[in-house]
Amino acid sequence: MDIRLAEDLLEANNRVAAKLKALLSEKGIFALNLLSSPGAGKTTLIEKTLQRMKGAAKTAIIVGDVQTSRDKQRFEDAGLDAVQINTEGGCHLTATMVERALASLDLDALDLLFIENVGNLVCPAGFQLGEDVKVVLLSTTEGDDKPGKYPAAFLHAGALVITKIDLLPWTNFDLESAKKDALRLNSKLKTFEVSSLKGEGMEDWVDWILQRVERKRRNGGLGHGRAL
Amino acid sequence: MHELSIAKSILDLVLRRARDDGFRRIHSVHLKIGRLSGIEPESLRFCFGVLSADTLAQSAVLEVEILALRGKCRACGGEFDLPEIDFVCPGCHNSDIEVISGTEMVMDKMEVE
Repeated sequence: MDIRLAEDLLEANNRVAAKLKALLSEKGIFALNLLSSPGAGKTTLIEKTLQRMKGAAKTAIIVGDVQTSRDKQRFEDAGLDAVQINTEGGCHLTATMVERALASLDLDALDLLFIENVGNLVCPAGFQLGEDVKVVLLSTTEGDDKPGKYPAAFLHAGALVITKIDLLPWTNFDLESAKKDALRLNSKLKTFEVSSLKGEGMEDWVDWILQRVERKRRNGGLGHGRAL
Repeated sequence: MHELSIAKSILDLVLRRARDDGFRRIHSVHLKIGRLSGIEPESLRFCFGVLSADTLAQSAVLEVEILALRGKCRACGGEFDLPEIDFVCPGCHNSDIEVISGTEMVMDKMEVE
């Protein structure tokens, strides 16, 4: 006998993500979900972004790793508030993990939330976390062919940050080709080129975030805090 | 890469349904998986086989139907299969494309007795 199921396997996660999105809207918090392969520079980008913001937005960081709290320690050493999630082998964050992490934060005191996903360009792509925008990082040392090879990550992203551009002279990374490939998959993608360590390109990126933080803060509590 | 947790979700759902409705055995489970879902069918079958041992689903076959990546042009409304990377409408050459299928993970039906 055939039994019809029609169950979406991502539905359970999507439901929790929708709840988190509503909560973050109510509190007027702009949330970014950062995706990249390991070592593309997510932690460094967040550190340097917040240094540049000089407290312009009250920020918390949720950081996902398979193991260790080294990233949390890095953030705390830099005077930043961070909550570590260890996925214990899991290759991506889920909305339920983020929900638990949010419970330990004072949301009334926040404007901005960075969710640093597990370093992986495949699995995190399908799991919404309640964010306003997914940001994909691609470092110049990884190769410019990644958008074509890992399309899912780029498909639903709102922004692409090409990192480590100070290393361009020592790589064969073709900036234009990487951007072109990413835009061919997603013509709405906003692209940035930065060197977190040297500061190049960081101003545009920081301004882009702060504009969205401001917009979300204004809409907070009205129940329609759409940031993008 | 997260096939084990997906296999666990599938098994939990079909076993609950089978228990609720009093079925004795699950013969097959039919899934629809988008080409860009990041799920590898062979790995999913392997995980499901390991997890389903000694359950009502122990001899169940996991049938996986791969759904093509399809897009819809936001300008002319045309729908078409998307190639690997160049997301452009074949009708009006606009590049503002909405992906309408190819990332899903749906449990469609199961065969039971």
